[in-house]
Amino acid sequence: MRERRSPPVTAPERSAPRAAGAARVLLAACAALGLIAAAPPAHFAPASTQQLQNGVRLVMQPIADTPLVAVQLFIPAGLAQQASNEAGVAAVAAETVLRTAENGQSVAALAAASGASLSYTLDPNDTRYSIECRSQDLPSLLKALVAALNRPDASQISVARAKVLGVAADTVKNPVAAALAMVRQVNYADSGFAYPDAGRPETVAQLTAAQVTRFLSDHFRAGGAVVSISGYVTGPTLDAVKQIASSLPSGSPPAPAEGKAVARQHQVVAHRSVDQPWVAIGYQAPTQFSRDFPAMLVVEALLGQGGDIHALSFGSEAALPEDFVGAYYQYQAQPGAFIVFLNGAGPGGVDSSIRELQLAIARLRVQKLPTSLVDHGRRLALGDYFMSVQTLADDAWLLGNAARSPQGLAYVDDLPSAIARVTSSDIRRVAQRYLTHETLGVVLPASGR
Amino acid sequence: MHRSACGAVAALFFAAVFVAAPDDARAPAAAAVLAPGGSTLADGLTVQVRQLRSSPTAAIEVWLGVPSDGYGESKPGIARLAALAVAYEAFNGKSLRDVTRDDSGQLTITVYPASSEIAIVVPSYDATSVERALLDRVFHPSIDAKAFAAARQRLAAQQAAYLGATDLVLRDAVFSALFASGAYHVSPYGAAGSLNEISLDDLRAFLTTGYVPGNGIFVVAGDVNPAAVARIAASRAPLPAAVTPAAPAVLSAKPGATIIGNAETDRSGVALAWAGPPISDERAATAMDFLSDYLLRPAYGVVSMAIAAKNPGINVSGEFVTLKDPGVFYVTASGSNVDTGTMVALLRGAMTRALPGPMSESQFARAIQAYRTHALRDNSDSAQAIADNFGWYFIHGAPAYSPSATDAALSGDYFAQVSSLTPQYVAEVARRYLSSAPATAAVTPRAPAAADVPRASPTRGGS
Repeated sequence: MRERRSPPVTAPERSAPRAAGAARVLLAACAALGLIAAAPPAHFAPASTQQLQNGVRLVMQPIADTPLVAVQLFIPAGLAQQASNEAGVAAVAAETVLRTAENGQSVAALAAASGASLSYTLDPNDTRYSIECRSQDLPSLLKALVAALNRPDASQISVARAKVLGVAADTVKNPVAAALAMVRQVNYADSGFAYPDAGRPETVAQLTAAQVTRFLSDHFRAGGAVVSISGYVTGPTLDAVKQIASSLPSGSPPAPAEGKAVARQHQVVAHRSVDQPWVAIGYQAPTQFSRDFPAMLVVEALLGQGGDIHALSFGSEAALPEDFVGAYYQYQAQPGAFIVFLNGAGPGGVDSSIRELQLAIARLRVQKLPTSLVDHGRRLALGDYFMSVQTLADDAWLLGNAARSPQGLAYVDDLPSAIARVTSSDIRRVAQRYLTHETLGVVLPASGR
Repeated sequence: MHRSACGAVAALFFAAVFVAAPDDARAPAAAAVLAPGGSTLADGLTVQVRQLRSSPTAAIEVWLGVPSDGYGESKPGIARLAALAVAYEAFNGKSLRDVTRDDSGQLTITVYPASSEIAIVVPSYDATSVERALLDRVFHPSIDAKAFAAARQRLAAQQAAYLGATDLVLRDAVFSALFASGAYHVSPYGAAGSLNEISLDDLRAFLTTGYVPGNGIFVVAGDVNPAAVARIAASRAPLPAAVTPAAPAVLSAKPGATIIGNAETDRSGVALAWAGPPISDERAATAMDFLSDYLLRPAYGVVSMAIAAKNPGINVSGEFVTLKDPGVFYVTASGSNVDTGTMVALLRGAMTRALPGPMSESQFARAIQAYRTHALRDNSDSAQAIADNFGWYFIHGAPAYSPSATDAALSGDYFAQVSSLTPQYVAEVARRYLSSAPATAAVTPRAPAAADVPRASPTRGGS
């Protein structure tokens, strides 16, 4: 087989400049940037959606490049649905589901034995289960997963809790997590989303089996659930998927909690075992279905995207990075959160990076940007959008997410068109509206305490 | 870093550099059967296009069959330096990095012992401009002092970081113990000292020799128009140039053992490696792929799982690397504060127990089914993975055998070979290639002593 590509030993050639560098670009004269025409749209394969009688939305995108199929099952059991004193219950519930046995084999083991992947990711409003397998294996895997969601094995809860507790304890030491948690505590106070995705060690340790099963039974509901399939979908497979999706219990889950408006500056400081200071500067931001969203994506591109919306997600196959620099935009949360992470590695240290960022943001709020710079930002934002869809799983995520927008699946094409229409005035408007009350989370080396 | 090779055969092999006549400009690819969607231009450049609907992106790659330590006198790291310099070279005022960055794209440079890959993924609407930019810079290179300096700086940073990547260091060390000389004997990263041995003139000479169309493949996979790709490839083509074959891989007469004291990491580890079948023996190579999946796939392989169950702190990985001749099956195990001798015994014990003889028919049926899915997921999950495979299998002389050359019906050479496997054949291949004493390598975070050198005996009465 081809030798596996080694992970890069140094930072890869980034598509967009990192935050401090990008802010520098924004501050500099823009003469060097040529006028760039708005990029033509790229093409997604056609897709369709239908709503089943029990309320489940089913999205299908047939692609016959290979015999593989990817499924994203969105269950409205996300981080914002957790009570603040049960932070971590979504993670323990999802871990329990993967450990639940069907025909003598856990769902995770069943997937592994067929060569498939099965994982979960915690989003603000969903627990999202991902399957990638050959089309012929999909019905049995999906059926086993839905059965496990319906009847989680309570005997697995203690093992699941122990695993999540370990992650929660490790997260406390992670500087990126610490900085992110500070911003979230200010933006989403009193909800489960105010805390790290794996919860707080003290709340996870106290979770009972009854709390975990109740969380699942309350939120595993057809209303709000989406089954999004991309790949080699044949008629019999689709029929089987419909039948399985129709078995989800009808009804709607409790609505997720919403954050409160932040009306003043905040600064929170913590100490961790790090070599250099870490800073997260957070702002409340538009959600993905807001009219301000396209302009905010351009702002993100201009300030230097550090990673996409999944970059800091927690899941069975995703670990929080310990090194993240650049802008991170969580637009699924209510309200959205726009956070720029900086460290002290650059010239002038972290203070210089903060100053550059604040100056760049001030410029966005006050000045009319030159056309060439707006063009540049739009082009970067369009590129970031299309580059976020490289696998069948990405396709299934994008479509499943779009299915819940007011426009439905048309959203996937409407959004790039809207990005291409963003003007300098739009950028100034969203900067003035959102980039005002900053929350500064500072992580200092423990030795400097 | 202290590094000593113990037990490796000291004989050096210097192959005479053979400059082919212009008629032989297509030598590496001429005899090979191309995959569907492949063609060879008049200048010798092979072009491979695969149209995909699964992503609005395109992976645009050039692969060149160049030795990582250069032609003639060994200059470890020169291929990586050359590829970096091509990425930093300003062409009409813009480097490949700039072009990629403007489009939110991803530029990846990967240098293997026998090949270099420059890969760019961009939104598909930018594919044509990036195709032109890549071909211009690769086949009409003009490296100036500024690009050379930038590449040196980047490589120096990569070399420093490389030392902290224990699994990479282990892989290179065990290849070094398995091969007596040539590109597989040295790390593609080179070393800090070797960087000073490479001048700008050396780099230009390397590019003139290696970056020629008959030595490479231009691969585009994604939401693209194949006819447009072919037109661009033809329009940017350089003149035909002679292909200079690299020195062939030469195995050590007796597999060696090496140990590296690496103060840049707190992890220790061991690696074992066996020479396997050449790519021309497609059925045996496929059997080795299946074996590496069945034994070593993380969170699945029986060896990986057996070791993880008893030693959760040890990370096991490995694969069969399909090469022109021979292929290499290797496994690494690493962790914190783990005794290297114990690790070798653990690995050998787990391998022996996992391969007692032919698998039962039912066990084999389940494993081969899982393998098909793994092979698809690993090799066709994205435009870049598909393009990478076309590049790799072309470089090693069997483009039609690429796992990317398939479709929803699993057509193509590779999956036909998977279907031909039987438990008896797989067991025979395991006996033939994995029962001898492997080459071994170890990394420790401290200065090694002679007693640390790991040695492994044959599994079942091998040579």
